[in-house]
Amino acid sequence: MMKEIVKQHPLRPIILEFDMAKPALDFETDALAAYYRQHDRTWETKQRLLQHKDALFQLEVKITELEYLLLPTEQQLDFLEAGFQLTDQNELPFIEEEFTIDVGDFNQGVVYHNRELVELHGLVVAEQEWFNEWADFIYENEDWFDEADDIGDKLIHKVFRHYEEVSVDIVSLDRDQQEFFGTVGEVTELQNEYFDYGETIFNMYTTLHERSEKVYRRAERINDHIDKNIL
Amino acid sequence: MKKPTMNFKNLDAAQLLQFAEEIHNKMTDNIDIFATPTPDLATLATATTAYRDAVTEAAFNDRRAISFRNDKRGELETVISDLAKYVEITARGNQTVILSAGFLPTKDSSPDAGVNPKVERLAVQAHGLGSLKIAAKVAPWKKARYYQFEYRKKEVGAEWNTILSPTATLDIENLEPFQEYEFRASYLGKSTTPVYSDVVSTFAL
Repeated sequence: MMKEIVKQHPLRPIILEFDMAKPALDFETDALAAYYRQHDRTWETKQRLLQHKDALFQLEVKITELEYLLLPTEQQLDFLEAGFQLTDQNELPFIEEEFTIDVGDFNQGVVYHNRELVELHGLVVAEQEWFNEWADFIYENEDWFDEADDIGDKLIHKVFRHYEEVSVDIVSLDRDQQEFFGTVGEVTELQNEYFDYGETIFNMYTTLHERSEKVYRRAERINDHIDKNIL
Repeated sequence: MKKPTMNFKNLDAAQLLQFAEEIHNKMTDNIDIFATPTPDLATLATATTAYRDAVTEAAFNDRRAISFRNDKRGELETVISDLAKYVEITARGNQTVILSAGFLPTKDSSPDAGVNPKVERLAVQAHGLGSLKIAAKVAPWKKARYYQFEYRKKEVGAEWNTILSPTATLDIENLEPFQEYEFRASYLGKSTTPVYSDVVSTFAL
């Protein structure tokens, strides 16, 4: 008599039919354990990728914030450089109302930005390290299965070969395994998205860093000028 | 370095057959590049046909046919794996050659594997007497995101203190008077692994 057994797994429910009249053979038990292990590893990978994709999103928020903060600083620099005659550039943005720039406040803004950028650097480094390690691992292994899973594949194959002796119905195993392969494909797609997103974020950070460096150098030049000529 | 992907485990039957045919067609078209494939293309064609027939047979949930189809899939995967190894050797990392064999190139290994060069010319100099400040300077490196300066008291068991600087010069402050300190520095570019300079030392005044 065939009996359907559903094993709830966080990745996907595993639904297999068993012939209850046949005792489970040792290699069959091992094969099914290996099959569950492949599910475990895929689930762990999915969780890790989601967690690090989230972390990349947090980096994107912070990078965008620091990019945005640079805008007024760059504009103030244009006016300060023109005011101190540190540039030949005469075309300044038109500001309708009268305004003043407090050099103390301006410097505080630059220092704050630099502090935030240094803090962000630590977070970017941590994510980049994980990204690089994972990219290297996948380059070598192509997927997240290991040698024990390869042995498991052979055992599952053996189950298909001994379809008359095993308790599990290979029609149900075949259907379930095809669905599992579909899920593995979805996690692979998630992984591709993670790699693409990571490269975008790390490039965004590099651009932010280069732009910030220019602003810091310009601010230093103004402060040097004030130190030498005004104070 | 690119290599042909072997990740065809999660392809369904139709996709695997399409993949096998693509390899056969492209390697036939580019026979001048792939002159002596091992195994030969006839073996690939035979394994592909056997698998296609087995898939058709297994479409009616017959246990024997499913088991037979799995055997044939295993045989086809082995032929493709062996051909992938041949293509990998022929291509030597060239993505175009891999694609012209019908294989997909793998993703690159870590894109930022560039190693930071070792810092040259780390110079340290005490500011004036009573300043308790030392100026450290290294040769700038265009690709540096940060300059990582480290210092410690020159005594047994002293820990390195780390300061990240966006510039190649840094004033290290609040040092102890007449204490000798050791310094080292690293560039941090896309790679986050420090490669330290030689250690130099001086006294804080």
